[in-house]
Amino acid sequence: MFSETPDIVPFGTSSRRELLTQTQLDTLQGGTLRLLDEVGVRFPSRRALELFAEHGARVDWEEEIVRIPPDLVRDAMSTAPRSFVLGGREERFDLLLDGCHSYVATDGTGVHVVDLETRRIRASCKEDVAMMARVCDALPMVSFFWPPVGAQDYGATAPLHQCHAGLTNTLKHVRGGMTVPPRLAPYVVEMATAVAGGAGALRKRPPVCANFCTIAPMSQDGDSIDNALMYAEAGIPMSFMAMPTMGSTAPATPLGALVMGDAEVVSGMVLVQLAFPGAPVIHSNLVSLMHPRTGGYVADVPIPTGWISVQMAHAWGVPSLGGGSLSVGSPEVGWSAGLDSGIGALTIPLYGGEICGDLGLTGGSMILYPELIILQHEACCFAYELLEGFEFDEADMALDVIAEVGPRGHFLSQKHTRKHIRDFRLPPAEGADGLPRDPQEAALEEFKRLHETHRPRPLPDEVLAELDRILAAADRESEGMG
Amino acid sequence: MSVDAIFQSILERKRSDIAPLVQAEIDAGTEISVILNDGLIGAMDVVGRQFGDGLLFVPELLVAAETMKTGLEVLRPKLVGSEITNRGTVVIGTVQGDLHDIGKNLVSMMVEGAGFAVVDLGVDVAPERFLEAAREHRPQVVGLSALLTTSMPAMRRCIELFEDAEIDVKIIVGGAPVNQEYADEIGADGYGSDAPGAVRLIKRLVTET
Ligand code: B12
Repeated sequence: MFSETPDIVPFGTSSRRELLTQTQLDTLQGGTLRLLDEVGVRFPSRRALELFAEHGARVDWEEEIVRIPPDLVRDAMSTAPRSFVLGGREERFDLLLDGCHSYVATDGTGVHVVDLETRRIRASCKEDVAMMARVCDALPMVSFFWPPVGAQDYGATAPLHQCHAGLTNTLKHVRGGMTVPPRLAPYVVEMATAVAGGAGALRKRPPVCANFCTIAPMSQDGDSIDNALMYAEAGIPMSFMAMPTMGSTAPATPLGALVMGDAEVVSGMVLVQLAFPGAPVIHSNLVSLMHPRTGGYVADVPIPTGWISVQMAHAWGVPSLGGGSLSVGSPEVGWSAGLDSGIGALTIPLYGGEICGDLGLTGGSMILYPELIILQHEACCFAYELLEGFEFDEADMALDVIAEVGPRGHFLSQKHTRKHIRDFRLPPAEGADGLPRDPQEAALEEFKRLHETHRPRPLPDEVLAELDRILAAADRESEGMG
Repeated sequence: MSVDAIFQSILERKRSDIAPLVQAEIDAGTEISVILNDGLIGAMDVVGRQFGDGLLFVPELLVAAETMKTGLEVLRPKLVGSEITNRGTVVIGTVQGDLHDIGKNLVSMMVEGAGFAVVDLGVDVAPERFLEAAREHRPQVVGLSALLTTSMPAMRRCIELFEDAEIDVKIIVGGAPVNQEYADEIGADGYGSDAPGAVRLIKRLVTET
C-alpha cells in the first residue's frame, strides 16, 4: 500500500514588493557589466576559454581570465528563457518558474545529523537523505527536494547516491549530481533520462536540476564549468550560485557583494547561453557576512540582500534561486531558530524568488535536525495563510448574525458559529487537551509518524533496476579513478 | 633599552611606523632576542588575547599581524645564522579537490601573528605537494584544511604519504566537517576547531618536539 502525495503549494505573488527602483537596478547592472568587461572572471576550463574567444570575449590564456564586452553579455543573456519547468514525477509536482510562484525548497548539503533515536550528532548517510525525501514528500509546502545532507557512506559518487535517494523516495523535483568529477557527470544525465523516460521527456520536464557555486572573488570552478556545459547540452537546468562573504571574499558592503556575485553568476550563464542558446539557467546570489570576531560564516544578517538578488535575477530575465530563507544560523533548535524560521517564512512571498526557503538545516547549512522541517513547514503554512489564504467575502461580515444577537448577547449558540468554528487552524504544538506542548517534542513526534507511515509511490520496477545499474557503473568507474 | 615603542606600534596597528622603530633598536644595540620576543612576539600575544576576548575584529587582527611581519622583515637578516629563531615553521593548505580557503587563510594569519613562519600552499593541494613543501621548508607542523566530506579522504592520503616517507613532522587537521574523532581515525597529531584553537595546538605541539 502506498501513500498519496499531496499536491505542492507554492506562494503566489500577491504580497510581492520591489525594494529597489528601476534606476537603482540599472545602476547595479551597469556595475556588473563593468566588472565583466574590465576585471573579468577566471575560468579554469579550456573549453570555456575557447567558447568565449570564439564569441569575441577577450581571453587571457595565461591567467585563464575572460573579459566579456557588455554587448556580448546582453546578447547572450537575451537567449536565456524567462520561464521554464522543473519536472516532478507527475505533472502536478511540476514547478513553473515564471515569476508568479515561489516554491519552497529544502536546504543542502549538510554533513551532520542529529540522530532520530540516539539524539546524538553523527555523520550523515544515504539513508538520512531517503528519510528526509519521504517525509518531505508528505509536506505540501515543500516543492523542491535538495538532498539536505551528504551520503557520506559513499565516496566520490556520494552526490549521485544523494540524487538517487531523492528520486526514489519522493515524487517531487530533485536537485542533485552537481559536485561529481566531470567523468561521473554523464551518470547524472543517465539517471535523469531514466526517470524522465527518455531524452526528449527530460528536456520537457527535467526531474533533476543542478547547482554550481562560483568562487568569490570573480572565479569559476573548472570541474563545475565542464559539468555545467555537459548538463546544458542534455537539457538539465542549473543554477549558478555565488556566495560572496562580506569582509573576506567580497567587499564589506552589501552592494559590493551583490554586484560582484551577480557578475560571477552572469558570467556562468553567459557561457552556457553561448554554448547552448536557450538552455534553462537560474540565478542565485547568496550574500553572507564574515563574523567580524571569529571569521565564521553568517548567513542570517538583517539586510535585504536576498530581496535585491531576486530583483537582480529578474532584471536579467531569468528565475531566481534564493530570496526568503528560513536557514538557521545557530546550531540548536531554539529561540533563534524560531526567529530565523518565522521571519524567513514571511519574506518568501514578499521577495518573490522562484525557489527559496532553505528548510531543514541549522548551523549555517551544516546540521540536520530532522524535526526542524516540521517546524519550518509550519512556519511556511502560517505565512501562506496570513498572506495568501485570506479571501474577502462580503457575506462574512455576518451583519445579520450580529443583528440577531444584538447588544449584550453571545455567539456561542449561533448556527453561523457552528458553521465556521472549524475554519481556523489551531497552534499545532498543542495537545488534544488544548495545553501547549514543547514544539520541538511535538515536531519530533510528527516527524516520526510521517517517517513510519508515509510511503510514496515507487518508480516503475524497470526504472529502479536501470537506476541501480547506472549507480553500480558509476561506483565501479569511481573506484577505477581512486 | 626599550622595545615599548615597537610593542605599542603593533598594538596600535601602525604598519608604516614599525620598520624605523625596529631599525633604531638594532642600531641602539638592543639584543635581537629581546626585540623579537619582548617586542614583536610579546605584542602579538597581547593582540591574540584581545582577539580572543572579542575586542578586536578579524581585519584589525590582520593588520596587527602584518605590522609584526614588517618588523620581522627588518630583523630577519640578524636572525639568519643566529641561534634565535621564530617560534617555528608551519606549512598549511587546503587539500586536493577542495577550494574553500576562508578558514585556512584565517588560521594562517593567526599562526603567523603568533610568531610562526607560515608557508601557505593555497587550495586544491595534492598530498605530494605537501610532502615536497615539508622537505623544502622543514616545518614542525603541517596543517591540512578540508570543508567538503568528499575532500576529507585526501587528508588521510596525505598522512599516509608522510608516514611512508618517514618525515618527522606533526600533522594537524581542521575545517567545518572535520572533528576530533575523524582526526584520531586518520592518525592526525591534532585537530583545531577554530583559528585561536589552531594556534594553541601548534604552540603545544612545537614545545613537545
Ligand atoms: C563560503 C562557502 C563556500 C565558498 C568558499 C569561498 C572560499 N574562498 O573559501 C564557495 C561558494 C566557493 C563554496 C563552494 C562550494 N561549496 Co561551500 N561552503 C561555504 C560555507 C557556506 C562557509 C565556509 C566558510 O568560509 N566558513 C567560515 C570559515 C572561517 O570557517 P571554516 O572554514 O570552518 O574554518 C574555521 C575552522 O574550521 C578551522 N579550520 C579551518 N581549516 C583549518 C585547518 C587547520 C589545520 C586547523 C587546525 C583548523 C582549521 O578554523 C577556521 C577559522 O575558525 C560552508 C558551510 C559552512 N557553514 O561551513 C559551505 C560548504 C562547506 N560548501 C559545501 C559545498 C557542497 C560546496 C560546493 C561543492 C558547492 C557546489 N555545488 O559547487 C563548492 C565546492 C567547491 C570546491 N571544489 O571546493 C558544503 C559541503 C557539503 C559536504 N557534503 O561536504 C557546505 C557544508 C555547505 C552546504 N551545506 O552545502 N563554498
